[in-house]
Amino acid sequence: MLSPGEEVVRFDDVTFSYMMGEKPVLSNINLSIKEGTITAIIGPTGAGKSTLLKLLNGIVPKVTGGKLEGRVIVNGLDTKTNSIPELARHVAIVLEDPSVQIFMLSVEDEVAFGPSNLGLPKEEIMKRLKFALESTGLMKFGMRNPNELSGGEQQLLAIAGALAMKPKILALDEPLSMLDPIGKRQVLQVIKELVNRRETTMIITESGADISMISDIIDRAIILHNGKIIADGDPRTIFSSNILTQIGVRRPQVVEVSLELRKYYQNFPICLSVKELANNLRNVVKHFGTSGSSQRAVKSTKRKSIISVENLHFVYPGGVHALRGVSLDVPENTLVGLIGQNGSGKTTLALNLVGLLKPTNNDAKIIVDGVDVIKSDVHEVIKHINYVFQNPDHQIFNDTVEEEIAYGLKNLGLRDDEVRERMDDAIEFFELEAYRKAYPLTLPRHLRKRVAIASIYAMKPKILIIDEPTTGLDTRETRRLINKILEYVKHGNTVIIITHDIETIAEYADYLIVMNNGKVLLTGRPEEVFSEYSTLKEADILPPQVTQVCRELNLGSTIISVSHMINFIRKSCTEGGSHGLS
Amino acid sequence: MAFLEYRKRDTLIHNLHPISKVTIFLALIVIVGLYWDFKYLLLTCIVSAILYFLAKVPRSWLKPIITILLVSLPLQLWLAVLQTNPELYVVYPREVVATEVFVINLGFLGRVGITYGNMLWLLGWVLKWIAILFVVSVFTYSTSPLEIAHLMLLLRLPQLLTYTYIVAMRFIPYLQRVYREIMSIQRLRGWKRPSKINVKKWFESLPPIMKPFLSRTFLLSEEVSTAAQMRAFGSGKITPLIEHRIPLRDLIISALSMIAMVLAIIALVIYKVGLI
Repeated sequence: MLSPGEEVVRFDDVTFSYMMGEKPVLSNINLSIKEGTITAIIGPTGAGKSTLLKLLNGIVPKVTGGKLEGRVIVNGLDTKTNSIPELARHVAIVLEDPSVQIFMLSVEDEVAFGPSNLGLPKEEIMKRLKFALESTGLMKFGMRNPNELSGGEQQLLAIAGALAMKPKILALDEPLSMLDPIGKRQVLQVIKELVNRRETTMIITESGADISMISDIIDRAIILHNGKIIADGDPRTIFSSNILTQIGVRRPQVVEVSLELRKYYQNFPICLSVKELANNLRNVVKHFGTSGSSQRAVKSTKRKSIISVENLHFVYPGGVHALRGVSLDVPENTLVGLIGQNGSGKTTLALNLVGLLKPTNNDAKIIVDGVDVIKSDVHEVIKHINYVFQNPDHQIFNDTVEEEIAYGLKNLGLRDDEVRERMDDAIEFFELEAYRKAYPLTLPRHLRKRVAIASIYAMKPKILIIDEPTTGLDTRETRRLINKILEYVKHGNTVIIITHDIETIAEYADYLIVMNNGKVLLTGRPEEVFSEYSTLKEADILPPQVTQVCRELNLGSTIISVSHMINFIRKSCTEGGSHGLS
Repeated sequence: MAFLEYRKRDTLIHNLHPISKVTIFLALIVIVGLYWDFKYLLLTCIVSAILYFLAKVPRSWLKPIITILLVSLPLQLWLAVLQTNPELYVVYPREVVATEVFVINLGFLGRVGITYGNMLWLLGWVLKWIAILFVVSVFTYSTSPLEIAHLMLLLRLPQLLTYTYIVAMRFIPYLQRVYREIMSIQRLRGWKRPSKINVKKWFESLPPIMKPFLSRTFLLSEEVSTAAQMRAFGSGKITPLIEHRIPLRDLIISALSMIAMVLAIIALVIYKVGLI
């Protein structure tokens, strides 16, 4: 076990730009990280977090190219004068997407890949292999093909591969962002165990979506914005300031609630975990009222169904029974959240709804906006319902944003003037005016995502399914996109969001569908769904932090967002008077 | 399961060391490739069928095998009817191979038709296909990409070749998924797969699929190469981890396969065995 002491990372006035003459991605970075510490680099998308990590092992600029000024010293080695393989002995980086950093054909080969590249003796490699597999709980997978592992297991494998290098510094670039709730939990558990052992110095980057999961394990938070360090300190101080909100990164829900409580109770601590907040609330608030009156006004879900599915089964050619008799009704003019683990059947259901897949049983029924999807051709179905896939780069192929949006419209056989009109409307609606003539693939990710959604929006389907719209977006961009979606719903449409972002969907959705093992586990208003704590546990779905706090405190009603929790606390504190606050 | 896809099973063939499987595969493919005489090819077909049975290759694979044979038959027939010249045949008696069943003169195309000679050639060609399809089926069904990768490492083949193979095997299924997803995405934007008969339209329909696919492929190769370098790939002193010991049974099988292949080549070159 290491104790914080010796400096293992130092940035001396580092400025870096990818291309000569371009605006620097990182500017005047001065940073020192001590051995055995856990540091989070927090910032919105495009802040320079990944570049900063890749400077540690020389990938930037040795592989990427670019101009580096200043010095980066890692474990005493100058990254400018040491080779990437040499630096790889000291620092290991785990990337955001586990699927692209695993290249061997078995778990053991994958973990041994790094050490064998270092030319270590076979006995040492076997020792490291055992250590890395044990540390990540992957021992049982031995010769299994990584393609057969889940997202979380693949990320653990990437971490195991990094640990096998026995690095002084382990850098994790948004390690949870692409995982489903189970995957996040698996990876987080391993990270926590590694943190507890303090055998390595850890650096974790985060853009906001999973900040609540890492907030209680880090020793230090560094805030990076537009390539500059704008704050650096212990997490409680940093999270309690306004700095995160100013740069568009969400604060953990427990911090938001702690800050609100401080208005009533000056010494209330800034809490970083559910347990901590619940314990402190118990100490200071003797009695909570009922939360019912503080709940947000929700649209009635007793509406006409726009989607009706009965007994839908789907078996893939390989034999995987992905949907097992799904029956559901989706109310019209609502924002619907479709949640569940990877492999629970969400995507297969969506593909059946748009007619790209057809049920494998004869008695299934899928009626969407009055159209029998099973009997209709995809080209007819897409006039009523459409689907935006997760990765915008799998969709975009045109040379300008305008052409990209017009493509689907032309295929619908619309007149030129109508194509123009709808295209202009989509560009205006999604605030893409400045990028009309831009080459869409070179735009930042959040804009590419907007282009992808805009091009389907322009086809004016009454129902729009969007797969993981907020993945990879910082909090500000997430809010902006969700507001657009809400506006679309306001115009009489229905949007189904497939997501793992529980906090966002709990806050904005009118209706939730929870899937597990190819079946619909729960449906209803978010308050109703999140009150089914034990049923959700079956699907390994953890409700938002504020809901967990309610449960810890045994409150009768279910609170699902920070604003509701704050209203509730205000009410308890003001109404309660002496019985509210001690 | 898909045709020509590996499946982990406990069969005699699956349990062989990959070196045995590769040598058997190599020997049979070389013999089948060089020999034309139906007697020997029939023997290789029988051997391949036995291996097919021992490896417990699914019966459902016979359907694509038969389909491939039937689809390739018109081409084989066309090639066969062109080979009426008896001088093409060096082993069977001239009077036999020159016997004509039906031959016509097509001017610049020469004499076209059916002779005993080209019937022997066609029979050999069909048997070659049957043997090859059986052998390839057995090999792909019983040998995992991982076994091949380990064998390449064991044989100390060039690092770049070995890792290119490994990365290809790892990412081919991934890219297949990406390709299918891109097709689905564009279908939802009204893209239609045109008839291949209309070549112009067929080419025009490619960009919505191929542009995102190629872009993803290039990006992936860059990401993979970066990830490999981050784990010291290319430092030039890899420690091989593969077990060098090959079981005696597999050494014998490999040796016998190699001997059979060498003898077959010698017999062919010196004594024209296997030719027609």
